[in-house]
Amino acid sequence: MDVFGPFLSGLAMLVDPWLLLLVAAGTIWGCVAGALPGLSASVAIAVVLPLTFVLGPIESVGILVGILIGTGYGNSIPAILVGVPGTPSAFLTAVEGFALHKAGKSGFALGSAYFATVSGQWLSILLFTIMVVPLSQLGYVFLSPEIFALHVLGLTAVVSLTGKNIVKGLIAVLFGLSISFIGRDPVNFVPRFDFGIPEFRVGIEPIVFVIGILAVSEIIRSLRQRYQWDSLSTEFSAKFPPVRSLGRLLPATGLGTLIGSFIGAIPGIGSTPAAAIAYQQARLVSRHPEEFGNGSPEGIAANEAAQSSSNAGELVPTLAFGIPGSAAMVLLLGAFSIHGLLPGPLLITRNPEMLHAAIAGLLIATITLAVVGWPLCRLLLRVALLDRSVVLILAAVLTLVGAYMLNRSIVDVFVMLAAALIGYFMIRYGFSTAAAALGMVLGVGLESNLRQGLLLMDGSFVQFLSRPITAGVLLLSLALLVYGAFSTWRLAKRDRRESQPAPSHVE
Amino acid sequence: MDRRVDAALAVLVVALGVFLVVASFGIRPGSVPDPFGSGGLPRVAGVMFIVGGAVLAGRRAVELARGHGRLAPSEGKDDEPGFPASGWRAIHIWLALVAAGIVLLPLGYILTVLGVTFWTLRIMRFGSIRSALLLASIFSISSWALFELALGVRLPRGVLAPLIDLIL
Repeated sequence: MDVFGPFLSGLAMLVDPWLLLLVAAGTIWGCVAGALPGLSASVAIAVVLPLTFVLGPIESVGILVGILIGTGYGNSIPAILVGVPGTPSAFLTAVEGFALHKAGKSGFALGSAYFATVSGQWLSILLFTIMVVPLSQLGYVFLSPEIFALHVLGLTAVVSLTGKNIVKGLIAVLFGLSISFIGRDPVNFVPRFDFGIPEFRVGIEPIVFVIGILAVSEIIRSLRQRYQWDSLSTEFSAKFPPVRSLGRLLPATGLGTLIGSFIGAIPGIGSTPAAAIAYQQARLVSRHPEEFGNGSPEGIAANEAAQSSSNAGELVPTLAFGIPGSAAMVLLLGAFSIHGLLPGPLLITRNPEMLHAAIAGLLIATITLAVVGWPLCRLLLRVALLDRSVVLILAAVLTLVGAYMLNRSIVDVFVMLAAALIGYFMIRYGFSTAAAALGMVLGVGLESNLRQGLLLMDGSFVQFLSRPITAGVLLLSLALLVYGAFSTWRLAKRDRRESQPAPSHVE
Repeated sequence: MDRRVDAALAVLVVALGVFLVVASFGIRPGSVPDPFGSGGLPRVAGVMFIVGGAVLAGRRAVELARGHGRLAPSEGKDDEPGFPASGWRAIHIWLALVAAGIVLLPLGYILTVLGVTFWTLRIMRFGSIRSALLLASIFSISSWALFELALGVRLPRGVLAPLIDLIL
């Protein structure tokens, strides 16, 4: 099996100046978006996603991967200099980095984040290639029952590993699945749930629904509040630390990269838990554990290496099986569908250039960060202190126009806005919008593989479910559901205990 | 989190489930018979909605009956502490976006984007009327130039069509 062939093919794409420019621009936009608290990778991608319609699929994948990598770096700047993480995965960078900044060691903190992100990224690209190529070969042995089981695994992983209430998570998945019923039955092409609207006869455009429920809903939720950073200063002094002082960061960086790459590859977990686990492990192996919590550069390195390498990790199930590893990956799959590519286990075996494009995107984004990452710090701090409302409003307007531009249909705009309103209430009341988006994206594939699989098995559920890989993956899904139910019960018990008044002591 | 609103949402989920089950029986069968059929998965989803919604609604009903009060620990994403929050502001912004969708084709891209950007900036009390208008104007014209002129994406021209045709 040729594992490094795709890597070399991705490397060969670097000679395309247009691709270089696009991915570099995407990376810088990702850095800017990551630096703005409240603007997640999903929103950053959603704003650009409709524009990728005018680009080719390779450029689209490259630019979206660049945005992802950029947000992973940009979020560390306000975390270190202001104590506010740009995205939740930089929380521990904020703890350690802000302490170093207050102690006058801003340069060391920023340099540690920069070093860990860039060096961790190089290693994670290799790990990504080593993981995704063998896994994608499994697509050849997968029939409809196995693909159905993988879809179920992807959905249950998101439901079980995120959110406080598994029942609400399952309802969210079902909601997304129900939206995928609109249009034509994927096996018989019988019209369903089109309510007499001609545009609904071919189904709801997945990407506009996903952008609405994931990104625009979050923007509207954020605009509930008005933010002010007037009292914070943009002045700081930071020199890049001596290279030899960064040597002590190598173990934490390596550990963070390994943990981020492997944990990021598990659908539904994401960069925040990966970063937390890497931080915890780095503390255990550190020669200076007393520094953790008080300004540890190794803590920053582990956190940053893990969250940046988890981006490459999330690409593994997304490209190998068509199971998005995170909300941002759901949007990436949407980008494939814009270009007529069907997400699934055979995506990269049928379209290997998508894998090469992802690798090229990772490489170019890393080179861009290596070149401009350090000089960007000052600019990103100014960006972080911008009026967040303005950026969110401009992003919302751009996504509205982008939804129209996809198919030049005003119905798409209203679908997006309806999804945004529903998503807003879902976020407020604990229903996972990522689960709903995933349900919608995987819904057609899940139903068609279930029904076609049953036809293959002559209608026998026993034969369908007793195939070894199918049974194994479905059992894993069941285990995840049980784990999720247990977590829900434990959280509810804790909430009940905390809401009871403390017993009074009678003397 | 308001228990009553959460319970109402759960009842809505049950209603959605009932709708799916009832509507699924109206889907005509296809030419390729399979064990599930065209209405099978919607029916299953509907039943799961009914069960899930009933569990959530029942939980809140029991809590309210036991006198636990209106407020429950939040299961959703909370507002960031220290900054004023208003649900009506969020809905107002959404309504502004809906209005933009309605007028996008008749008014055209430039005027719609200018109008909705200005309106939503004012909702967020950004700067003065003049600065909001200036920012909205710069944004609408520069984004139009980026999409229409640089990327070649044809945008709705609306009432400014004669002027834009003249320019182009």
